Amino acid sequence: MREMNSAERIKRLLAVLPWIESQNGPYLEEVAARFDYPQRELIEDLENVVFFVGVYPFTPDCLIEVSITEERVWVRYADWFRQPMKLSKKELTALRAAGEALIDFGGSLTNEIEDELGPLERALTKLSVFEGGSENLLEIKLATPTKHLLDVQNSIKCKTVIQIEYLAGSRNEISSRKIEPEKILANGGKWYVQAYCKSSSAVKTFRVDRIKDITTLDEIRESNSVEYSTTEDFFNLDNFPTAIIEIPIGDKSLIDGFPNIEIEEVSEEKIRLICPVASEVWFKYLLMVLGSGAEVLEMPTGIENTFRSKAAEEILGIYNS
Amino acid sequence: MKKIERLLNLISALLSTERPLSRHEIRERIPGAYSESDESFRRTFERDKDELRALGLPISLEKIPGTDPPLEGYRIHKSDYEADHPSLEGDEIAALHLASNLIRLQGDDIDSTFYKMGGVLKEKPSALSEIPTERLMELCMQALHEHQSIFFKYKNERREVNPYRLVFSGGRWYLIAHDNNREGIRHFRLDRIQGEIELTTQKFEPSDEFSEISEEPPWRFGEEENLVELKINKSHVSWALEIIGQKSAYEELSDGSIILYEVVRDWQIFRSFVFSFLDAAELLDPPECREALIEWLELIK
Repeated sequence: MREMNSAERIKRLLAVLPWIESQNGPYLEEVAARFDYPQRELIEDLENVVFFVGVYPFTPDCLIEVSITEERVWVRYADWFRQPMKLSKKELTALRAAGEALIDFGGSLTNEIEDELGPLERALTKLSVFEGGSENLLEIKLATPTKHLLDVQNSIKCKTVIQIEYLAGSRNEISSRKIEPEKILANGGKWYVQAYCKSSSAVKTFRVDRIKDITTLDEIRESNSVEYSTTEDFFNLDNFPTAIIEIPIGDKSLIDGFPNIEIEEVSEEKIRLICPVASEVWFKYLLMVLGSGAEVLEMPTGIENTFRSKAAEEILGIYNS
Repeated sequence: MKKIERLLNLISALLSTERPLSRHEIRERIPGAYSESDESFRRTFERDKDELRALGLPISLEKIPGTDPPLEGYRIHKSDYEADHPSLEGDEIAALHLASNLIRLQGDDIDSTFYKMGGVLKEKPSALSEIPTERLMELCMQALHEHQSIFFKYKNERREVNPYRLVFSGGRWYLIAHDNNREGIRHFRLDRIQGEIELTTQKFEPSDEFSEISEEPPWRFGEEENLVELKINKSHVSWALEIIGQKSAYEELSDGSIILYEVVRDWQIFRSFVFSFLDAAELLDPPECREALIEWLELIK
């Protein structure tokens, strides 16, 4: 582990000193674990730094006393460091927001997490009373669990193999896959499941709201539980043809729901979109969303120039009939 | 003297003093910590002070009593510094730790919060959700905590609002606030606030009485409200319901299609949602929305 800088050390020491003082000679190993303080550095800082800290005139009675014996540690005479630093309003708000979000989460949780909900409620009540019983100023709403999410969570809990009917990536086509769900994640208001996909023998991430149907199979899992990276790209779109479109910069929010589009600024008025097009259906959808302000500079290979107006006409058909 | 030793001695001096200390008194009280040269001392001291403030140490600058002409000095009041949160049991701290790690606010230094509570021995679980943060959140939080009115530009108009709460919903941050010119509660999307937020010195009475942000369809946040009827063909019903599920009222028709009744406050987002069904959905009502949709398509054609 790299050496901590002075700010990281101070931050820890201001918490470590009052904690040690409040305990009856805790083990160095425990101090190190609680405060993520590598034990060698902890001893070094206690013996060679804190030992010389005090207040004017630095006579022995004005210095902090640190004694380390047989792997235990005592701190005395640090009157001004008897309490840790106050939790800031921001910290209290963040604690309450995370706690309340977990309590409000309507999905099923693993047993380990469920066991923590009681103490969590108690802690939140204490913090709320402390803040005068007012509602928290920050609220985090995780995407509401749908029936499919609950089914997926159930599969994680019971380690079952499930078959899903899935609307693939940006293809707008349904395919059937056998998956072994490992973990759910919320991102951008959507739920994702990371799973070993038996159909493609690889770990993949699926959007839960694109699952149309779930069947539990009577099969045994192939995969062992693996730690998956949460930052990997959800979909590999490198192999799809691309469209190049320019839109007025004021329309940028129209592409909020299209995470795979690359954006380049071309001028003060316009941005250019590089869009991997995985299917005609998806491309139609994108063009309708962008509207007449968009200028298609390059159609994906195999798609005709009249594609956009035809798509608009198709939809207008239902309004004119 | 090592930097970390100097900083700890500086904190000790500021915390244990009964009156503000001038910069020069501080140098005298920590022998060997600072340079004899006034200029280099001043620079080091300013840096130290900034660094400690960044760590959250509440260093205050006050007039030193009995000085004439008045001099200013520094101190840390114990009441500003010392933890006063309610005492939490070990299992309660562990549960908060779990929640804070499962639902992580990006960029938040959670560890440091828990150090102040005595640290936690358990392993950190991997996040269930990483909540992104927005550039204006910090200022909004400050205004929320201090009950300060704020100004900002939104939809090209200058707004003066009393902020009540920040809500993360459907992947976005919203500010619920009382709009002082429109005299009503409004939901503002944080990412649509143009430019900066200006804090005013005006304080307001906080209130818990505001409309909740109920569920996440993003088109429900905005200003002008429309009750919209959308007919969705049988082929797309299960998908539509999986997305909006129990959050909306709908009626099933005999042919298996549904009519969805949705409150829409952000027309642009809802329009995009309607297009995701292409020709499998028809907007029935209100007429002005239907007309707007038809016009949008006519222009594309």
